[in-house]
Amino acid sequence: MSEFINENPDVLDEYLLPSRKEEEGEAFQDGALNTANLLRRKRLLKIHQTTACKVYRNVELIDRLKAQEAALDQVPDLTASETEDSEEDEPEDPIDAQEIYDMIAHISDPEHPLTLGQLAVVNLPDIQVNENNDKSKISEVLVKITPTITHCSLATLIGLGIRVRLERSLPPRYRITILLKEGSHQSENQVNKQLNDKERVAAACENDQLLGVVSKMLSTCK
Amino acid sequence: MSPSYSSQNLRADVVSIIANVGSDETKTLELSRKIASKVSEGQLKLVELVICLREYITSPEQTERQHALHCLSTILGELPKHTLLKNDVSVILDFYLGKFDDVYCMKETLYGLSNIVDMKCFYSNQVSSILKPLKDDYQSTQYLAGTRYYAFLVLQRLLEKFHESMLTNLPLNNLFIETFLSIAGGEKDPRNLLISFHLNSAISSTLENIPQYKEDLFDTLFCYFPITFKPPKNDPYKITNVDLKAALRGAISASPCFEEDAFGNLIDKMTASSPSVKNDTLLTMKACIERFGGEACLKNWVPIWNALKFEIMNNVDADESVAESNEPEFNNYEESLRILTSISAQLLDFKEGAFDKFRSQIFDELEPNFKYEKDLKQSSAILAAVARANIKSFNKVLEDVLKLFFESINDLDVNKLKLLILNLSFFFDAYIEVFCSYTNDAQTSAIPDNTLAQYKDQILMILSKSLKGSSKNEVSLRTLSVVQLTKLVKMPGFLSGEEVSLIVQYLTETILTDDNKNVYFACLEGLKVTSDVSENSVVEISLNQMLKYLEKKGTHTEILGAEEEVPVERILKVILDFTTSRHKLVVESIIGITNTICHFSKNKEEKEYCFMLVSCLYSLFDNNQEVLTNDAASHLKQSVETELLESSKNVAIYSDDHNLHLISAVFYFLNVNAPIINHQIELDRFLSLFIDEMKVLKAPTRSVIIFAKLLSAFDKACEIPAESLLKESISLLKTQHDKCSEFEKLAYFELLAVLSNKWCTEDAVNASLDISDTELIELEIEAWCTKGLAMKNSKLAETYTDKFVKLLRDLESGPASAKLFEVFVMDIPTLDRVKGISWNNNVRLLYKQKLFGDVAPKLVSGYSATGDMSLKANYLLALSLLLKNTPNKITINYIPNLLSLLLQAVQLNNSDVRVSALITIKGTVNQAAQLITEHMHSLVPLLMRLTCPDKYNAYLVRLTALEILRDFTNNVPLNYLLPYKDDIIKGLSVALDDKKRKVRKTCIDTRQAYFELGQVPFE
Repeated sequence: MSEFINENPDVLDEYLLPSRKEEEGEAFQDGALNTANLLRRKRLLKIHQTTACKVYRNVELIDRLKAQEAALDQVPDLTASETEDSEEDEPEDPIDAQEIYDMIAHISDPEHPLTLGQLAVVNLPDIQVNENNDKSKISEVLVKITPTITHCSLATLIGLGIRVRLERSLPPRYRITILLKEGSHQSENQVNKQLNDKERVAAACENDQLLGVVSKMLSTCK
Repeated sequence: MSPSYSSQNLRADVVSIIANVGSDETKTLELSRKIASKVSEGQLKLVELVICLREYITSPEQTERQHALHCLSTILGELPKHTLLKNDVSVILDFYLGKFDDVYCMKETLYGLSNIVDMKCFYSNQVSSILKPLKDDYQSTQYLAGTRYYAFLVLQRLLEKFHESMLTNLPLNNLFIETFLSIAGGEKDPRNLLISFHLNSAISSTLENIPQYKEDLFDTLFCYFPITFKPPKNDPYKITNVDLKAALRGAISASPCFEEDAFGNLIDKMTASSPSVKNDTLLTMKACIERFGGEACLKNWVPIWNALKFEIMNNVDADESVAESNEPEFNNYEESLRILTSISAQLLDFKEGAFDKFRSQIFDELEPNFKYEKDLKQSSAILAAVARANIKSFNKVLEDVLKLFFESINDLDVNKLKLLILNLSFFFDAYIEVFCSYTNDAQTSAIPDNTLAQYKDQILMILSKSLKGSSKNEVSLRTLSVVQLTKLVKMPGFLSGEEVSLIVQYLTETILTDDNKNVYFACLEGLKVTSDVSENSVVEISLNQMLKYLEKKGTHTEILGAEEEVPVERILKVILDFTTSRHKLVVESIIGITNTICHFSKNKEEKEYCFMLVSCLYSLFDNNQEVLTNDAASHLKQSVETELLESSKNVAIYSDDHNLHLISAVFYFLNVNAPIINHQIELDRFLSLFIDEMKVLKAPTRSVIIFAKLLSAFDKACEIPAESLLKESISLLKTQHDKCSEFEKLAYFELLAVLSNKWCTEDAVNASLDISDTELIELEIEAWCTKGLAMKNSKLAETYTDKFVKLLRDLESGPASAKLFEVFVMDIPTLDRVKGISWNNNVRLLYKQKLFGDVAPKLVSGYSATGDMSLKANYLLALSLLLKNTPNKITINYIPNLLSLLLQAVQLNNSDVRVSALITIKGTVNQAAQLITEHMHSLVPLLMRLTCPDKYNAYLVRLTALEILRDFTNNVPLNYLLPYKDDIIKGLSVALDDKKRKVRKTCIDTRQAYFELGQVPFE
């Protein structure tokens, strides 16, 4: 029955979904890059859009040649086993709500040819990440989903899809909690219980047919 | 009978022909030609031939009769048209007519007749004697297609030859038409149909008394509509479906007499569900409308309009996205609209009143749609189609439409505004179609007054309001108005010069301040279109304004005319984007940016700003090579070279490595494209400047890079004291290298490469180098000279690369030599081949392949010959550096030999080596996975280790390792990969917690691919 009532949900355009601003610095993986040069590279990219252009190649070449020239007489130890501490000063990108959103927003809805992001089933403000700085301790991710209608019979399936996606995509140190947004569903408590019951989720994943449906939902993930 | 061709000869030939009929056509034809030539030369009389054939022709055997008659008919066909005299013709005609009752010989009889008809002495009074038996005694349905063909051929030839006499002789005219109707009925063969359609068309359009026969003629046509034909594979006649369709269409629309039948029947066919049938119907209807004239249109437009209206309004293709993906061959929506345009043109031609009636009915029907915002797109398209027939229709329709559109423009919300603009856009297109014949050469004056022009101000106001007055979030409205403003510019003679300037101004402001991609590209397109129409206004308004911004800028000043701050990067990006390939814009931007550089280069604080400007300048040259013709280059050389040379000495450029390098590349562009006759003069000038005045080879000088780039630009045929330059540079490097900065050293090295590549002989280079020396600086000098040599595939290069390979065994200089391997294959942009320029460098196309082919096997054998791990590392490093700079398609052939080295290389403690080895492996997986499959057991654990955080697993190592694992799922056969599935999924959970987001993302995708590996596809 829900199919008929929910035939025409409000749909957001793909490009209106929240997304991380253009990843800057993606292209710069030169070890030899100092901050001033990094700034220049970023500027170049803003003007020229792509690292494939000749001007970028030129700048890269100068920097590389200079670094090589400087290091030419140093004899690197290529074979010695690790001696220094392996902690590098590589900047860290923390896992944040946007990253979680990107993982799950492109899951397809089981009954529309649209994604959960487009249907506003998952929304950026409804995702919480409680990061524990000590990586040996547990961190938490809380996702609240909003079914398109309050008696959506597929809320559990959507929740299961999100859970499978997150369990496959997040490091094991995260505890994942998926809840229906308060007041968004008639049988909120039941569904919540079902979604966060390990045994029931595991049992569902044993069911090949169900797993097939979930795989299909996940196939649109980017 | 003449002695040369005896009756024996004739008999022999005739017998031979008869024997060959049906088996060897070429032989038959050859002999027939021979006999025909005897007849025409007078050596043989026709009577003799007939006598000779008589016994066969009267034979009781039907095949013998057929063959003999065929023989005679063929010979007749081969005879020159004037050979037979009146008497001969009438005798032979009577003979053939007498054969009409011999059904077995019908084909040959008709064949013979078709040849007789063509004779010169066949006269009009004999026509009916052929037509009558054809009409009465010939039953077309009894015969095969080949026989029926000759019947059509006879008629076709008769009509061609006796058209005039038929027009004056009504009974003959009628007889001909009746005969045609009798033989054309029930025809199915495509070749015959083609003739039948052509005959029908010729009859109905040129003969008399058509109204009497019009129903029959039409019926013989329309029973085939819509015709479809799929030619068999070995079709000898090469008739296509299109030929038949076109012939049928031509015949149906041939005569206005068909009007009544045609329109009624075609409208019936419009209800067909097949798009191809519909398309055929529409095209035929259009042909009819155009051929039958205005009066027929007036009688029939109401039902046609109703049919078309249904088609247009209910066409799913109205949705463009569907139209693009579906059946590109038929666009019935467009065709239907085209018909409306044709009707409109015909009616207007016929009587203005008729057109008015047509127009007002359509308008009245569509008007409510605009009120209720229903089917707007289709309604506007219909009205625009009616309007675009010619100026008169355009003005008449627009009067109604614009009144309706602009009735209530004062209280428009965004949505209504959008709809209004969308509706208007159809009429802009109509305008372009109507007035494009008034070409630009006479400009505005030639465009007659029109209704749309009267509303110009309102239109401009609406468009500019929706662009300037709307919030930036209204992306679609803003994009739409930019697109329509662009269209206005395209409309010939619609806008005045000032109005175009105003639009350019709007577009410039928008492109500089709006961040949305759609709006950006719409504006870019707008500016490009405008520079087609009026380049000056774009240069003056848009480019000058941007250049002025640049002048005011500078790192520390942040003043700008507009309310918003426009970043320099954005201005430069716009300049680069919208100048593409436009000569004047490119030249003006180069000059403008050069001036700005001149201005700012004096200030030490402005290094960053200069960097942006210089990089933009470089790209202006690099992106627009095709614009830089000889003339343009010499013009630019005159206007900017001196300034740039001055600027290059200024602190913000001279002391900055990037800036100086990029600006020297600009000198390269300026000179490489300059006329080649001036190269020697220019070269001498620069030699005296750099060598004599600035003495760049006496003490280390940064500007030597400019000199090096200039040398790589000039013609290699120029005279230059190359050897002394080479010697001086080498000695400078050897004696003063401690004083050189890295930048300077590299500049001198590049100079060495250019000199040894272009001017120095192998001997001279060899003499300047000391092959036994293993000093670091000597090695570097040799490496760079070798680069120059290797690029021209010089033999000497091999000697030196061998030296470097040998040195890898050396504990002391091994590591440095390994690093220098990169120099050989590294690409330096100014030493690249430039399309269309052959004089600058000696770069062989396949030099990398040759080098790699020479060196790689030596590296492999050297590697296996040593047991010392640190020496092995040298070989691996050298190899990885070669691989990194050599295209994958060259290296792929060597992979089987290299794979074990690569597997070791990824375990070396150097992340660069690991990356280049991994990239090679990745290329192999994607291009030749079969080489990898047997190494899966060692590769998988290795790659898994490389995905984990580790000092030497730099970002790119981890990322590439993951990508290789992911690519396995697409390229490696399932049975090789499945055993590792669970291990990989489990092992990759480490990389899920990687520090870098992109690594995590790739890891997620890779894991997902393994989760799905071997899973039965859903559905």
